[in-house]
Amino acid sequence: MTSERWQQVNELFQSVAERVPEERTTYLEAACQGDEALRREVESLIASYERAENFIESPAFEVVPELLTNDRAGAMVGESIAHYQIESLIGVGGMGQVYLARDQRLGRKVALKFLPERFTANKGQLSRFKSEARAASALNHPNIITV
Amino acid sequence: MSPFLPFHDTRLLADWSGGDNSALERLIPLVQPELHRLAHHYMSREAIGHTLQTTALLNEAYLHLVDDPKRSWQNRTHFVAAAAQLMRRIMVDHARERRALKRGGGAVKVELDDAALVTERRSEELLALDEALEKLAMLDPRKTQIVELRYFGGLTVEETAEFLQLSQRMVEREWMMAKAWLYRALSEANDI
Repeated sequence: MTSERWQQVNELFQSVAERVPEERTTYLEAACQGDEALRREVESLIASYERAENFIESPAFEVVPELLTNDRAGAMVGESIAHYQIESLIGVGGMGQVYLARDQRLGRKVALKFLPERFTANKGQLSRFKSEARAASALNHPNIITV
Repeated sequence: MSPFLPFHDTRLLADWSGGDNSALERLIPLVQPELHRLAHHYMSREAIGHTLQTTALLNEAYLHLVDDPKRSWQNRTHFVAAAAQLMRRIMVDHARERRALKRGGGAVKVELDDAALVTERRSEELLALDEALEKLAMLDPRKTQIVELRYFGGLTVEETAEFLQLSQRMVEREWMMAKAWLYRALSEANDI
């Protein structure tokens, strides 16, 4: 689309949008003077505008704040936490990320789970996670992972 | 609030406004703490019925910079624009990573609960919007900038108008058409 054409669409869109819905069709028809492509373009934009409602009205960081956090999948690979050297990402879910790590004191492999940041912002969920971890660590069975 | 990290080199901003995109990349670690604060605010219960003023947050960060006599940071305009653009970049990069992980996967197992599925859908929408904005920028850079400032930077119509030295009426008009155009672009791509 040339910039003149874009400008034309733009201006016409504004004038049509300012009118009450019942007047729009007649006004647009007259303003286009037989330019069918122009009429269709403006008509389709007006229709989109009417359907758009709340689209992009709330800022992105309100809609998907998760995307601004540190929860990047695999971000911990290569890092060390206490005596654990994190080697690779095993799994990702809504409840966090699980990494394969090496316990450098005991020389064994362990799975480390990291909660999503949205959980750590909430004390209730954080304490629930802690009691789950305590419950799991009290169990000792070959088929249950030790915590 | 946590203090905004001082810029090691204020020339980064000058470089960025001079068209050097890697300068923007180097700004990321410097503004990230503030952005995390913003993200946590919206993810916690505090956010209900209480809106954190993004502009206030950016203003504090900016004042922190200009208060430092060693810095020659004079241009608030560039700062706000850079912040909005950075937020767009960071969010889009994260959304891309999520998509790559879901599609490529490799040995990684991805499990999604309801909350994660919602995030998934919204981050896909964000990517589609980003692509549409790229196209809009070729037709009308000013509309794209208005969307960037408002949608990614969180500025109000009044703030955007002041910032771009336009009337509020003009910002509203530009916003209307940008919104219609982008909504159509996304509907065509995804049949929403």
